[in-house]
Amino acid sequence: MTSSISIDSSVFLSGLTTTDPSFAVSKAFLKKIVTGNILIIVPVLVLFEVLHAYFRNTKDLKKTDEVFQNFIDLNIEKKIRFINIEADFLSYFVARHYEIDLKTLDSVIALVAQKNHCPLVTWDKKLLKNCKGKIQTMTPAEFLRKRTIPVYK
Amino acid sequence: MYIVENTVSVSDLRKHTIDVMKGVARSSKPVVVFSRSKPKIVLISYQNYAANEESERPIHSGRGADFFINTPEKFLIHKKGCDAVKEIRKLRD
Repeated sequence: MTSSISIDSSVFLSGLTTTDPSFAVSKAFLKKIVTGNILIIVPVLVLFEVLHAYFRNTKDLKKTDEVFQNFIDLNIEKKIRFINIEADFLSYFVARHYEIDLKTLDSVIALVAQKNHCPLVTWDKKLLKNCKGKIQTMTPAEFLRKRTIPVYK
Repeated sequence: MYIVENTVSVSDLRKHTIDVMKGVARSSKPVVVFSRSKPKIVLISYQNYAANEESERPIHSGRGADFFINTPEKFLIHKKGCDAVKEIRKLRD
């Protein structure tokens, strides 16, 4: 059985940024995930954010497009699944967003993980704090320390 | 001819080493060396050996999963003081 995990934009961006304090850990985490039998489930919003932030920091459209193409390749390799934000998810969002008290985009990230019954891995302290007790969240470092795929409760 | 249907005996190989080597180097097929009527070793040209080695090497496509594990240097962000969480926060807040 394939395990699944949701990964926040901060982790993908960190793994592409050598000057980020968590670059090495993010890289090790991404390596463990993509080489293991683990499916990454993310809202398509993650793709928007990573590519937008990547472009803002490189000012290079060609490179940004290449990163985008590699996300698509990752999807073709069945390592990542993008969740579209559609009416079905909207109903779920409306029914639960108040429970986690986050801004809209943060709520989308958190609730996609919850709806798909997978833990959320992020470097964002705000997400980690507000999801505590409601959605299983952890940092890439915590994930690597545990060495096992957490089971969603 | 000492190479019969891509086989050669050890005694023929000993006597005609240079000729056998030339034959193996020319041919794209391996030559099996027999000793006491049993196959013992296989001779192949260096060209074929190198090609086999190359094909058995693990493939690093540089794309998809491999891109996120071994990101080429030119695609990495080296901007000083760039903090991923803060960058994403700028887009969300």
